[in-house]
Amino acid sequence: MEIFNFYLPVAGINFNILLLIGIGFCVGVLGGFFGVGGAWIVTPALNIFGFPMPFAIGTDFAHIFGKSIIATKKHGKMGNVDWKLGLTTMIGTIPGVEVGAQLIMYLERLGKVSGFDIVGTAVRWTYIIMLFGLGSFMMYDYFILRARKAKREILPERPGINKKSLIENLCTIKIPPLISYKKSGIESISIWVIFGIFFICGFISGFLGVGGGFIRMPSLVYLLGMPTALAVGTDLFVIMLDGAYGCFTYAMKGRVEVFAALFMLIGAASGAQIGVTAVKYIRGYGIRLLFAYMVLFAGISVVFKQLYSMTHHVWLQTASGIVIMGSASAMCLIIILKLIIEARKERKLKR
Amino acid sequence: MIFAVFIFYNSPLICGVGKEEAFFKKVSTIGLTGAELILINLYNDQRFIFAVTVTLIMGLVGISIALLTDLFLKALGLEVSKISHHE
Repeated sequence: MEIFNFYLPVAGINFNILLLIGIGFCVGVLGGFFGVGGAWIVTPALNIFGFPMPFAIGTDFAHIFGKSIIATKKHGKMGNVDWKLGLTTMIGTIPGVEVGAQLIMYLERLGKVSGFDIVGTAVRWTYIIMLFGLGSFMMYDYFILRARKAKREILPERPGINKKSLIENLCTIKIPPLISYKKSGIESISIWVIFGIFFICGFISGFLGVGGGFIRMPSLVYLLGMPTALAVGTDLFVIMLDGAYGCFTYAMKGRVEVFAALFMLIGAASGAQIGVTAVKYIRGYGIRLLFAYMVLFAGISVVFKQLYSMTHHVWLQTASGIVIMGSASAMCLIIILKLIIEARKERKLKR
Repeated sequence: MIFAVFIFYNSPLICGVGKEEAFFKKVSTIGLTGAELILINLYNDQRFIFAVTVTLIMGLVGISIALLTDLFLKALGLEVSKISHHE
């Protein structure tokens, strides 16, 4: 396997090309399917396999940008993108990304002065909190909602009880200027609400080296009330813009390994096509449950990596790699199999 | 927004944080050839051009792959069309 090793001069490390293409492919399938950049898998994976954290983040941004163009084009064709909403989110996203990136550079410098991997530790802990928080919430939502739905079928809902949802509450904030998004079914919402939500998403994106999809996609669904497939496409469009800026700003800071990003992009390109096509066959709550599982597995792998950095037991490092790549590969396999089965069914019906 | 980005972007320089590390790191070009050498020379000497080049490369490669795979999937009969949105 050593013949596939490639020297990356900026990071000063050797890395296996096949591993890069493999990571790219898995993330391409998952990213295209879930409507996320998939960087919450790539950044930990690159870091676990030897990239210093700031390089993992910067390289990841470069690959996210290239890949999200492919997925956005396809989702646009399927009518899954609210272009107006996507462009408006930039008012919060870009400042958020830059603040996050500056914090990374600051922590990296602080770590060099103190002799500790401050940036790696801070990013990993943030990942652990975010991934477990989000994964648990989505699991709760999936199972509780399903139980409630089943209950409602037996006992019809009592009239007169009208609880305001979070979405309705956000829409009652009428600080001008107000904006409407007909395609997403949002009649009127304050631009400040949009700024607030997407500044936080942008900050997380810049700090963790992610497109921000794993937080933005749920935000679009749960905070703005968009249908899942439309949220997936719009999110990918935002990731594309956010990725372009992230790639540029991290390259300016000298933390991008362009060849590593290109190898991952080659793998991701083929994967993304499969993932996006699968959305046509697997929709709604099915997507959410698979997404929740993947988020939790990614969280477990980061826990192993963090434990390794604290104890230096090699098996923890190995376990971390196995969990992240194993779960990503398994999830890809499920999506590809489902796509093949459903596509065959559709063809049979057409005949 | 452009003003805000400018302020955020230059905040480490204003605060004096990480100026040397972030912007003036040099990479050895020994043993490098072709495109790699060109990129690393840009990295060392013209960081802004390097950043623009990297962003453009990723964008152009992304677009090219998108067009090629589209043609490939069309040939396989896996072309996508507009779908209706429901939960």
